[in-house]
Amino acid sequence: MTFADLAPQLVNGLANASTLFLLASGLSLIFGVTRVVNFAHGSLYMLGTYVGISVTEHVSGPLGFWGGIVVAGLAVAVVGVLIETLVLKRIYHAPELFQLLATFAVVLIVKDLALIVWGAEDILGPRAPGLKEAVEIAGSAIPEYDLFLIAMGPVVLGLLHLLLSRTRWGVLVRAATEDREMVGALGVNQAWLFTGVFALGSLLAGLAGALQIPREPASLNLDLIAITDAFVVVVVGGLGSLHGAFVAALVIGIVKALCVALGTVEVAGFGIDFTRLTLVVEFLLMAGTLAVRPFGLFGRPVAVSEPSRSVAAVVAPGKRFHVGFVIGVALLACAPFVVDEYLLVLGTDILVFALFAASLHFLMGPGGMVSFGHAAFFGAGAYVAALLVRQAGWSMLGAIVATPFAAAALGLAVGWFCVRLAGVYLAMLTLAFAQIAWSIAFQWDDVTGGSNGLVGIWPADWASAKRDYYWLTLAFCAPAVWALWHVTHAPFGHALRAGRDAPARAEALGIHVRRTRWFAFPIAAAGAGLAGALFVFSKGSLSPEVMAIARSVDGLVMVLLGGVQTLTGPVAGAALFTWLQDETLRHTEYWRLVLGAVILALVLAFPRGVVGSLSALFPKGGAR
Amino acid sequence: MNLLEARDLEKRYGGVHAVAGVSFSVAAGERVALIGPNGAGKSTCFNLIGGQVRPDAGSVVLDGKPVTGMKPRALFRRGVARTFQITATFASMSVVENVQAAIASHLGESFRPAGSATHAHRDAALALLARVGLDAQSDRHCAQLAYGDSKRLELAMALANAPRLLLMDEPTAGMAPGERHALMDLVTRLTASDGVSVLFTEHDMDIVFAHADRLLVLDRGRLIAQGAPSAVRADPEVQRIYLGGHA
Ligand SMILES: Nc1ncnc2c1ncn2[C@@H]1O[C@H](COP(=O)(O)OP(=O)(O)OP(=O)(O)O)[C@@H](O)[C@H]1O
Ligand SMILES: [Mg+2]
Repeated sequence: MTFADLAPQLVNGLANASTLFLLASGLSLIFGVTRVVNFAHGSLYMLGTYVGISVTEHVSGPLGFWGGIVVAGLAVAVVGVLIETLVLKRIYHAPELFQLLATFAVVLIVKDLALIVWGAEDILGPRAPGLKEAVEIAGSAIPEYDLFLIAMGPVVLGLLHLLLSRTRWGVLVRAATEDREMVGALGVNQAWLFTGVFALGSLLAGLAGALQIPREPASLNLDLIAITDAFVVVVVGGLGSLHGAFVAALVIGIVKALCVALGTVEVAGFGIDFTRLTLVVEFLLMAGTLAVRPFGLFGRPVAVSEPSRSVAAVVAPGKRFHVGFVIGVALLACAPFVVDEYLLVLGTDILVFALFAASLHFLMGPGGMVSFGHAAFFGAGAYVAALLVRQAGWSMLGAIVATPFAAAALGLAVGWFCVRLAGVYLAMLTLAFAQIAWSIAFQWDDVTGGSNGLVGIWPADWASAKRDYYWLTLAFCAPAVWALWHVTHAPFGHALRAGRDAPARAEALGIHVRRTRWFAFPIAAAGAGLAGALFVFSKGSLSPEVMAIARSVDGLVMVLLGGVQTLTGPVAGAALFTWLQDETLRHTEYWRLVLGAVILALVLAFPRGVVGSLSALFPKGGAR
Repeated sequence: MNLLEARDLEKRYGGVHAVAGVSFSVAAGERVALIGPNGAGKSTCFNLIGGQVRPDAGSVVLDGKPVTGMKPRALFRRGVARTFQITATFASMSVVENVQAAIASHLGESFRPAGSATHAHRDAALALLARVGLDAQSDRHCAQLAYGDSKRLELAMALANAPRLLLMDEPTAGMAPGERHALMDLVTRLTASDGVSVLFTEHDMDIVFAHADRLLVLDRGRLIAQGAPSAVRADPEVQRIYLGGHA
């Protein structure tokens, strides 16, 4: 391979690094000052792309293009300020997980609004007027626009650096990032500081999105892709470190480019296709970085806020709870005699996701570990079950029974790495593992069927009727959920909670906090894996989407919707989520908008107590 | 024989020499107070002995065996218990469940995935709570406890492993004066009968003189005096620190 082969890819990678940096720096600034993990940051990026393209469609020439970028940046900044003042401002003092839920809601709403305004088709943007040509450097044709983008990265870094070090506002931002209490003590008008930072962060996201329009079509998936990339960059660089984000963006851009350039390389007789690595290489980098430096490249070991601290009392279930559970399950078992087949299919879904949510809750509630990648275990379960039946010729029942063990083994492996970290870093590592799992499923054509997935994975004959499969699902999900609850209130669950509530105290009392956290992973993974196995037979097919980020996010929304404080919360949340999705889908394709609006309304109406309010709505949820 | 020996302990935080070569010992059954002005390094000493922080240099010997750098949970198994300057209890549990978790850990049951933690060892936990006078509040949520009561709860939890050495970092901070003496009387009562050694820090000199067999005086990371309360009280260096505008 010569430099001429490498150069175009390298330039492409560096150009990507610039927009990645713009995007990530915005996220980093917002997190640093407000401590909100803003999942909607990717949505802002997506909006930037759409708005930019729309402007160029109406105004032609350089004015349209460059003006479009500026307009997109400003418009997105306004949207960001609206989100901050209308939503986040009201819940800065609410538990962190609650803020996360609110930003999820914004993601859902923005996605559907974009669908309404711009439609489902990808939209190609124009090329940059004045920068359409390629220049020849060392024998390769390099697009001018890429060179322009490469220059943008350092320029923006320099400007941000000046802003933060030379202006009074910037000094406050830095002070707030390093020590929030100090700012409070200084009597700073915190509200303005937060709104300002949100405006700046959103502006950067919008600009990043708009700058990409000659290179990448606007599409509705950009939001999750962008937020994931941005998180990876911020985490690899170290939370709150702009320089770290810059370096991380460069490294990721270059490494991705190298993977494309390398193509297939013969190593010891094996052909390794590096282009396939592009999908995961950033997550491999992140996992590697966090394994060596738990706070990222430039991050300092600040106290990463443990989202779980806000978790309130958990009351042990008494006799009434168990009686309620049994009655609930009995009622559910009678359902096939009264409801139609359509509802039974929905009911099966609800049972599956109730188990999925309950298993995620086990990590998040008692374990105090937020996972952004719980779908990995769900998906792994689905694939394992499907492959056991398909490739190994197992019976359906055998596969369903074996799957939790396989998932637990995966959980043990993943958890071993994750429990070395805390807070957002831990969450991001779970995301990394989920993405790695997803890309294996996506690319291992021979075994997983690649992006097409596997089809024709139907239940055994004796369970093929909808009502029989519903019963089967209930027969697995109800005991599994009950087992999760039981462990929560067994000595192990209490030790886990002890480590979450007061880690130093727990250690001083002889509790091996890291190991209890570690063992929580296989337990949660087993639950999710079982749910995945039941899911795949109910659908008859599966694709890598079963473990996409979107599913992990769905799980989080279910848990947060129901509330982490209660055991029944996640089950109720899963039921509400699945039902609402189904119900709205029947009337409108904009189910995300409806769901997002409902979540926002709940969050804003009960800034601290959505949980209590919900549990009042769903008394003694049983296995619903 | 001495139960605890600290030899030449050192700990730096950046430029701060928090503990600068501290050596002392605590005999079995002895009650020793570690005193000194704010920032003298008392909590750091506790953390070095309790395993929360690893010393840069020096060693900790428990019952003749080196335990330097050992994890808190390992020290717990060897009979070291402690309370923290900033009270730490398990906020999501009831008072008695806090103690039950401590007992379960002591019995090596923390990894048991079956059985109800709410029922296991409840009687033993209630008995411990009775010893610290909290039995009437056993089923309250521990977030609802008065400050002094959560200090007592911490004490009950620390006693769950029948410790040989009890480390108490400012056990009475934030309490009313009357309450302070009551708590320390309680500590003395509970420990004296079992021959438990107690090392505690305390700002209130009345408490110190009433409840310590021996004093260690720390200033800027160094041990500047030690001995019987009356001797230390007469020490000119100590007087300078406590009366000379330092504290
Ligand atoms: N984790 C840490 N990081 C940096 N410096 C520390 C840390 N812990 C303690 N220090 C510093 O070490 C010195 C001793 O602190 P320490 O908490 O041991 O004092 P203390 O005697 O317990 O004070 P107080 O009476 O206020 O509790 C102080 O200057 C403190 O700022
Ligand atoms: Mg102290």
